[in-house]
Amino acid sequence: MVDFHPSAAEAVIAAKAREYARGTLAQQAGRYDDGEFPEGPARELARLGLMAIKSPTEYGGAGLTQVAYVSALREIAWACGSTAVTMAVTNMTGEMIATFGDDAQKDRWLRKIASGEMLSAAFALSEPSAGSDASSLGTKAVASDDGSFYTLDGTKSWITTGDRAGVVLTMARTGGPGAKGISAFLVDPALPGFGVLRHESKMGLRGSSTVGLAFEGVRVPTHERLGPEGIGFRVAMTALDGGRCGIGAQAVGIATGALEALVQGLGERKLVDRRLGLTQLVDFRIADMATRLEAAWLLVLRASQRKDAGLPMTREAAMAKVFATEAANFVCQRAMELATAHGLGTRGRIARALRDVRVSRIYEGTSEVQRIVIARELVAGLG
Amino acid sequence: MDFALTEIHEMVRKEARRFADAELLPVAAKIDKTGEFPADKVRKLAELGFLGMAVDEKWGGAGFDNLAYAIAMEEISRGCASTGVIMSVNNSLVCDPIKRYGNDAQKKKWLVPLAQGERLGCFALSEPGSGSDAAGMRTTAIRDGDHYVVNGTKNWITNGKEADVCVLIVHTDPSERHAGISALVVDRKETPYGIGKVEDKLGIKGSSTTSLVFEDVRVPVENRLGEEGDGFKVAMSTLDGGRIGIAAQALGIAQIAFEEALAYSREREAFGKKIGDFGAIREMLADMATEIDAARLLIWQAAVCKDEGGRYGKYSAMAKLYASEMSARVTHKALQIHGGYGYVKEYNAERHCRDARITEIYEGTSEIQRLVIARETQKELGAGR
Repeated sequence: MVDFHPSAAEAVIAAKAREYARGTLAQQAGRYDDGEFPEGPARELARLGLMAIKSPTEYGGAGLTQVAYVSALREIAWACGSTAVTMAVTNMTGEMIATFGDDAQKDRWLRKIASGEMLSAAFALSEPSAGSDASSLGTKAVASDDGSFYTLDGTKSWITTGDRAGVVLTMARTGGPGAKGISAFLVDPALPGFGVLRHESKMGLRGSSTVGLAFEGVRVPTHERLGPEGIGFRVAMTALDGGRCGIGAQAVGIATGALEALVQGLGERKLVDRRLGLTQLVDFRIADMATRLEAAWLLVLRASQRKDAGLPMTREAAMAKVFATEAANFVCQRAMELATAHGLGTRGRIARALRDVRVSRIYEGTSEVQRIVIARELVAGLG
Repeated sequence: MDFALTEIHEMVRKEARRFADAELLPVAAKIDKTGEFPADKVRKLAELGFLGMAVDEKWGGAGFDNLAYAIAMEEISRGCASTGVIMSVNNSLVCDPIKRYGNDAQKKKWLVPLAQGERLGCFALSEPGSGSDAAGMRTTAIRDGDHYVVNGTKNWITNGKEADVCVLIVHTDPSERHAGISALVVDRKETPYGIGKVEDKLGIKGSSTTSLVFEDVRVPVENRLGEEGDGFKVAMSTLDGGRIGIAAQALGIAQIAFEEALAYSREREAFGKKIGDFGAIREMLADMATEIDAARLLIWQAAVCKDEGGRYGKYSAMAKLYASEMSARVTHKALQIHGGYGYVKEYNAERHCRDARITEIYEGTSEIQRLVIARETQKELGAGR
């Protein structure tokens, strides 16, 4: 039955996230925009049960749904995009361990993620020359003769919290070219040969670190391979299906924060010139922003609920991501223009939202990749 | 949270789609060309129970909810946009206010035959000099004993030519603005009024759009819906619901335009491959499909909220604003994908563009929807706190 209401448990965890976001986190967010990693918030998120929302309770997770996850993430993103992306990548990595890992792996890693013993987890897929075309990645994992370990060599790029993570889910090639030659590994950053490369200086999400990772003869024990050889690409795509809902939610959250800051700023100034009809032009923009965000959020919820129901949702997740991130960019741009034009006191916050939201159209699959995913099914006659 | 339809809703969708495929799609182009009112199709809609969908069975309706109505509206409009608006007006703008504001005698007399499709309704609010500014209307109904004497002209009345039951919004107290407005049911058989010129329109050409002329028409006081002064509330709350129907109409038009463009992209070849294999065409198709889904979710949300008895005015305004503008974009792209064939009447793409255009105007222009949404949004987000 069509029902737009979250369950009680979903509503509770979203409310918890909202309370924290609109209290402490909102006050601190400016600091993290100056480049400080949101270490305190990361610990607090774990304490609130927000770092392993979908992980089973027996491993310390909240045992909840994708709908719960995106709802909570949207609330955190409302206050701080940097904290939200840290939360997103940590939850996503944990979910892959919960989905594809064996009991020992779950026991080893999920508790640490859920409890906050590790600040974050990381997901290493992209490389300097393999972004959208992920199946062409070149990082190699060569099995030892006795089969007890793999030796990883290669470079990863754009890795969110790659320098802070307690575990790095790494995609590397164990077989031939193409998607089927890729496997997934749980890499402990303490292993010899694992190195953090350059910290990127970014336009937004400045509190979340984005680094390159070097694998120079890193010996990863075979028991840290996630699932059998050759499923790495499937792991990555599964992660991204859920992850794209998350990025959609993050974008909606950031943009909702900008829209609220705009509306409240305008209310404080009350200087919009009615004689020129400007009030109505501002109203019209607010209406367009609110409408697009509402539609975006419904697409995120629809894709998320399908994931919870075990239904195919690759196309729905792509739709949610492309629509939500583009709507959110539209909203933040409009909010910035109006806030600047009216000299609003809240414009600093809106500027941060605009910078934070830009990357949502790029990471976890660019808008262009999402459109390719959507159209592929349609033209193939599956739609 | 759930986005799956119940069996009943699935059944409504299937029935509506079957009817649209078999009865509407084959003749939609002809209806557009001749501009003839599709009387036999409307009769068949009545047999399906689609003319009083959200009316209780007790009052002759099908007893479905508003979500079922929205689903059926999409499917019928997918088949024929003209038939869609005829259905929408009878359901949303005529049955709904009589259902909500009528007394039992009024329901028995009008709601039952309207819901069963024995009679057809129209809704008269706009005038030559007042559209969005509804309270600026000039039509008056001056009390004279047991009657109101109605004078004035109403404009842009869908179903105006064929309808014989009219929900009429008038000033019973011309000295007041909103507070002086009342709603009457005018039975054309009992108290005939004049039908003005039938408009020659850009699209939805199979539905009639006329003016209605009232010259000393004596309407019994017992025909009033609610109290004197309730009329503005009746009209606005009726439009809140009507917007769900029009949004669903816009969605249905977009859906068929998309389906045809997708099919064309899989057949048409250029530069040695199917045009659907070009990135530019795929990008258009991806955006069309995404926006169609977004609109459908907004519409369902508004309908479900109405069914739950919640405040749904913002949701229906968002649904209508988004779906109508989406439909304009999608039909535009569908025509583009067809190239020259899209511009000629051999294909349907140009008709869909023409049919979609009105959805941005009637039952509240996009501009009015934006005012409604902005007001509600600023209230929610605490402007000025």
